[in-house]
Amino acid sequence: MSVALHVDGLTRRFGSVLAVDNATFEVRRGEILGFIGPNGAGKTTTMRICASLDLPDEGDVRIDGVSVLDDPRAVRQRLGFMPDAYGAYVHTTISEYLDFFARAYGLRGRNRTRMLDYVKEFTGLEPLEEKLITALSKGMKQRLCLAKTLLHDPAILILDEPAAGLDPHARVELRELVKALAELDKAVMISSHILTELSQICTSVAVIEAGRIRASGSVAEVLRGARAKHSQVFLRTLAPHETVHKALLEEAGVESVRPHKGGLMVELLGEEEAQARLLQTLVRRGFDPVEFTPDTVDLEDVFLSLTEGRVQ
Amino acid sequence: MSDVVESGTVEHGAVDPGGADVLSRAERMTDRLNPILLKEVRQAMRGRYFKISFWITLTIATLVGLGVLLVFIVEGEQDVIGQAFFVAMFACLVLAAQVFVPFSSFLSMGGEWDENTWDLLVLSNLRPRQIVLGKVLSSFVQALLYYCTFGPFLVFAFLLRGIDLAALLVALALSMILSFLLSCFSVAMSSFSRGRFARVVLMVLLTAILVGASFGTVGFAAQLMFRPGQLYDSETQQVIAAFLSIFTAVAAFFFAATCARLAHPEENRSTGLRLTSLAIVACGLAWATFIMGRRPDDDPILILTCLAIAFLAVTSIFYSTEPERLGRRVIATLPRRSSLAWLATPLLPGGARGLLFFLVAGLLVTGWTFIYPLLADPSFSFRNGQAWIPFVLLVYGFVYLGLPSGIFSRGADHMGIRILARVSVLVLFVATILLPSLIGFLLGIDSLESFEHAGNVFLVVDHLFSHDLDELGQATLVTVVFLGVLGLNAPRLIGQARELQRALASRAKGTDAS
Repeated sequence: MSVALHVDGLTRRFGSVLAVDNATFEVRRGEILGFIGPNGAGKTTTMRICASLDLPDEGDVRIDGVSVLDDPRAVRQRLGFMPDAYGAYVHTTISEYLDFFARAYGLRGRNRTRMLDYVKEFTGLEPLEEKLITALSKGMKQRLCLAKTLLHDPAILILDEPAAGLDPHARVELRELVKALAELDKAVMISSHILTELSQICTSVAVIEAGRIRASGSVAEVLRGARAKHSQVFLRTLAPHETVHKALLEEAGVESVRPHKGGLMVELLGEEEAQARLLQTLVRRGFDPVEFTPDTVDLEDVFLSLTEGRVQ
Repeated sequence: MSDVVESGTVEHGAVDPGGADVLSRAERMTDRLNPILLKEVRQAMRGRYFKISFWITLTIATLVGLGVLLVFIVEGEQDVIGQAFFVAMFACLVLAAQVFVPFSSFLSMGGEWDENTWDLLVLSNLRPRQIVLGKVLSSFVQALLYYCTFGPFLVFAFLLRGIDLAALLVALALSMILSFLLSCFSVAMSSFSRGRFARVVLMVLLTAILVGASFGTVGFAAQLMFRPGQLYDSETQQVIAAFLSIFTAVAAFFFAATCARLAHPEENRSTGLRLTSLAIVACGLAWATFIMGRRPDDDPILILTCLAIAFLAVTSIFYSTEPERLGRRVIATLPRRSSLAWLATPLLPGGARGLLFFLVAGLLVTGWTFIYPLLADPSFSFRNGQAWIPFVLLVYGFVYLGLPSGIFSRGADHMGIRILARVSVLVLFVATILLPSLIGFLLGIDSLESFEHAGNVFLVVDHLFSHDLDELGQATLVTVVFLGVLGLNAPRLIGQARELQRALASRAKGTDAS
């Protein structure tokens, strides 16, 4: 898979605030990159720079090898950006809105008609095409914005919080649309706060906090990286839990112990080796373990373990 | 999906029979139209603003028309009833075409930011000039609708007797052109600020300008109606031509300024404006050359020279206070040949290059001042110190621009500092006239108190118009100040030359590497 979007040492300051600090990551064709971070982490700034709407103080972004600094017009031909603040015109129907943007993207004659038919069908907007935009639900407006983003057949899609404010049904529909786009060999960069949503569709992630990229790579790599640092084990023993609690806190590699659902939740530094050592300790010291369940790490845990909720 | 579209190409398939083919042809014809124009007209026709203003105008026109007819019939003044009815209808039409329509352009431009659609437009293939042109053309289409609607009223006025057809047509043409130019101006005003408070202030200012322009148009039309003979007077014709030229120049400059403001900060936002300034000056000088022909007259030539240099100085307030560095996007668009890039230096963005632009453009104007009369009439010569006027104006302009922009050049990346530098130019201009007089008043020096000092550029030019240079006095002081300002700006000018040299060298290296 070739690299479609390459962010290289991106830095952006707003006065004394360092909004993005030396961010580097990439997205390949057919890949869905989940761009996650707390509010004010620098997600939207990074995405706007990638879309050539803002400029970095240092670094560069290459879209299909073209720099956003050197040739923004060529970048815009290859890229579809769906901003978080949805823009709609009053007194305009879906059909007119899409027709206007198709013309604005330079689509002519039958190409335009065909492309309009295609995006309406792809996003399921066909039956509503004569409806005024102002009368649409939030989910339908998001679909319309996605349809507009697809009009010029961009190779790279940047979607800023597309699932924000959508009901569960609309979220599932959006998820399916995004998956379908990746299957068309498009590179998709998507930001969201709803990590469960992202974990179901993303093939890679980049975690940003206070403008810095904390981790990036395929979901498996990032999860492995997170596991290598920390893991949790739920355990129950025949020995009194208070005794076990005290004893474990003195053991090397144990970060914390807390009561949890009739047992103890032990947080360890390290993954499987640390868990094996813990089990050996429990047996050696005669605590008689009856349950020993390593807790699985998901995207949300990764996010929480890598970030502290700091903003710039 | 790529199979579905071949971006930007027009396909002409097999011809369908009947109505479908006509529709398809009509559809294809609209491909050539500005997309913003189509969208804006469609939105305007559905919007409340157009509907309400349209019916208000028609209602007022009907009531005013009936009122005028009744009054004039009762009063028995049927000789002038046609003119009076026309002026009344024309006033209503002007209210719509020169107030309501341009104001809708202002609202439409502001709506792009309010409705979060601006970024979507920027991401499309549309360039700022297409967006601005689309908005202005859509206003013109709305204005044309008003003109069509008022057609029967105006024909009725014509049939009432006493109306000169040429005067009627001139009045209508003038108001149409003004409506277009005022729409340009309104879009420009709207682009000046995205803040709500500033927009309200601009709205009030714009309303005052639009209403003022409308009063002027109606007054002029009334003059033409009641004294149609004036239209054939060469002086009136010259006034109309001058009036239209100035309005067109202002609208063209505002159009270019709007496009520059809407472009990305790293894009070249300056060259287009600088070229527009030059084009306006060139058109003015060409027009004067055409009017004077082979009989050059020193006073009009010098007045025009003064106006041209003053215009360049005013526009250069913005150019000379721009951030100093060339952006990466500007470097990417430099002329390929180094010699051309160096020649184009005064047109490139950057504060010091703005100063250079003023000097170079001013020298071009000065060149016209001397070369045109000599070519037209080899025996022509200026009186006494008149020949110094363009040079003296250039020196004063350079000082007014160079001192504040030189002092604030280090902070020019910040908008606040740029505004401060621009305001300082105006403050310096006023201060050099007023302060010596104030000092003269306080110290009891009569010559200073009566504004007779080298800081008063108006007095200096006035002296030169009628006296020798020897009588000016204080020329040494002016020269010293000029050299001081030149010294202050020398590091900027050298720095920008080096920057261009580096840019050309790095680009050449990049080309070699590739």
